Amino acid sequence: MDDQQLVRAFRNDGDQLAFSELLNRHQNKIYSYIYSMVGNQETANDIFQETFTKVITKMDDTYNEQGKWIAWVMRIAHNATIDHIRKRKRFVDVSSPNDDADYNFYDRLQDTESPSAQDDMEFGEAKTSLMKHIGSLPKEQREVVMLRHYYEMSFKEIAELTDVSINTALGRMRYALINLRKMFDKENGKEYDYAQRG
Amino acid sequence: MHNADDELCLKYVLNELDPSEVLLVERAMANDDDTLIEVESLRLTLRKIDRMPEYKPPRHVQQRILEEAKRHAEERYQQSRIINFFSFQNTVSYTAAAVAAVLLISISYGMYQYAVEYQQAPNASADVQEGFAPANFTQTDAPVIDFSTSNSSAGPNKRTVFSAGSAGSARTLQPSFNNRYDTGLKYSRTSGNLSQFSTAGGFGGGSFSSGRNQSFIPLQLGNSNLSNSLNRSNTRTINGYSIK
Repeated sequence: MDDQQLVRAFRNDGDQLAFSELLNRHQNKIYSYIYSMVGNQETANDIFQETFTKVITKMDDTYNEQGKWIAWVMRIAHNATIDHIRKRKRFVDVSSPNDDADYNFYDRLQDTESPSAQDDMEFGEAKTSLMKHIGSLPKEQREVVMLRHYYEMSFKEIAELTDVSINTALGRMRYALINLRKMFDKENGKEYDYAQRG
Repeated sequence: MHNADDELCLKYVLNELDPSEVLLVERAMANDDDTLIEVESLRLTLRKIDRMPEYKPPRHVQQRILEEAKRHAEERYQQSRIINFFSFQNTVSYTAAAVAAVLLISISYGMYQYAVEYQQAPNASADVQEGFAPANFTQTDAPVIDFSTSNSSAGPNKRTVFSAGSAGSARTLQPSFNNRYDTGLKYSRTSGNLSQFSTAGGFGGGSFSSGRNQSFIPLQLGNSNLSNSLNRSNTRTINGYSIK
């Protein structure tokens, strides 16, 4: 059964197995996107659950079956993630008035986490250096990389979702790749200046 | 290398170019080492990103979501049952109301028709009696019976029509739904001829009798005063009809 059939089975017949199948099919990508954006497992858990609670309750009203179900879910997940980051950023801005405006958001987020939460930043320290570098990217660049990687979105879709032009989305991707490349090179002993942040 | 070229290289790596643009980039790569290095470098970085691991949500989070889905499905099922019940009830009540309305209209119409026919009966009988009344029929031949004072089984609410003459027979009618139209029919059989020749107009007091040789026979219907007044009244003739 494809996604549309499963969605219909859940909406019309309350088929919980159909919903379970939908969740199993897409949960990893959605959770990975959220986790890679917020960098904290507890927060990612909360946002993931909030996303699916909205999916369950709003599926009857706001989901149009003409569109892809996963695209609709991704939009909810993305909005929930961005909302959380904005709230967190506001909190950080208020609590740390001396922060440098150019200072990496992800680093600021790390600074504000509690020690136990910091332990959960597995991809920053214990996981791969790749996740650490991606976590170091500015939010806008990281967002484009994640949406492209986990959701396999076209740049047109990314542009629509993030409310920017396609060229801006492409530019952010390009800067993200340049920055990552330099981070990898630096890690391998080469010194580069960071590319201009998009 | 220009910024526009960089974007073309990125689009090339991301497979976002038209075939014509692909050819353009490949030609540039063949002629320019910098372009080739740029494209290969981007491709290498993207390959690293492709190795980004997928994370699985914890089991307890999945469980909570599934429970939420179950609860929502059950709530929706209950709501749909209630809605179905009410829609069934509505259907039943609308049908019952429609049937009741049709019945009411039918009964009302039937009663109205009955009343109209009952009202028109005096004229009809007046028409009928013309030419059929026996010539020897006189007022003295027709007995007047006051039922208001009698203990007849017919009772005061029943109409009794008496025939004049020995061969006459009596007929009892059911009371009208509207006593104001206290109209009676009188049949008389004299010498084997059946004549319907007289009506009494209830409270209106109008009685019709046609023909000179025909006598009006007042019919007393539960009101002795009315009957007496009718008996005392004189007879007038209008357009050949005698009105008493």
